[in-house]
Amino acid sequence: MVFYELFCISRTRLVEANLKDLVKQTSLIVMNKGGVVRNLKPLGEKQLPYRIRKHQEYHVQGYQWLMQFDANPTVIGELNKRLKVDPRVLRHAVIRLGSKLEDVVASAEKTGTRV
Amino acid sequence: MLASVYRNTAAKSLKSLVPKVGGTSAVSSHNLVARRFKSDDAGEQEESRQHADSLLNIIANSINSQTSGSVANEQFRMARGNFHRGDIYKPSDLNDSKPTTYAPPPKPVDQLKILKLNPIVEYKNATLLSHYITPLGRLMSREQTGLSAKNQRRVTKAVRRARAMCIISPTAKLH
Repeated sequence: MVFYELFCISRTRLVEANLKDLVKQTSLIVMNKGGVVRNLKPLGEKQLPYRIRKHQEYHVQGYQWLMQFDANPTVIGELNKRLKVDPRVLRHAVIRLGSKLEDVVASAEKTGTRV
Repeated sequence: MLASVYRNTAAKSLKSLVPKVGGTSAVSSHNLVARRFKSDDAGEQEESRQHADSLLNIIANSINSQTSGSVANEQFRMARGNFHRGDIYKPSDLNDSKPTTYAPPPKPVDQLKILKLNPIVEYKNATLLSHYITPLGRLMSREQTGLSAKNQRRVTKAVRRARAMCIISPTAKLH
């Protein structure tokens, strides 16, 4: 199991149910493959530093959220495939934080990056 | 001074380093969605922000001092004839000449090492990364940041990741 973090920027003004569905589906991709979702964190709706073009539209604002999870590396390919196609998602990145929790926690505690 | 501030802040856990977007979210459903996530930071935001500010001040001050010129040293002061009561001087200090050797520049201090922050984990932290980019959004050199080689590489990686992920602008320093 490797410790990952999905940083996702989704569309603004999504209906609450729609956003909830997006987050739930993303979590299920991980959980169905035997992964563990550790943390789901909203980072708020923000003005993007530059304009994004995605799904044939321009976007200037985005809703950022974070999902931290433990999973097999094989899960990541599946996750990327689904998120790339999802019209609610503008940007997504799966970052490998480390193979051990201790590597990540020391820094995270100081700046409130919850792990 | 650095050590004492660090001791004070180390005792308490710092929450968010990134200032929260001040309640001007246009999305009415945002608050509803926030309840879906287990958020428990509400009560301690103000106190934690002060701690976070002090942390940022440490970083900001260190970078400013490193870009400034070398500190005026004893030799230089004496040579200018700027004597004060109680000073000890050599006969050569009364010569009207500039010192032949200058004090070495202050050794750069790696702030991230002292604060034990891992820049890679902080790629989302636009406020922190903004200290290492110029006003035009370009990465600062190691001479300017004062970081160790390892941390400079990691900061570079974090900044490039943040740019790609639309967290910081490649052409400006916004935070």
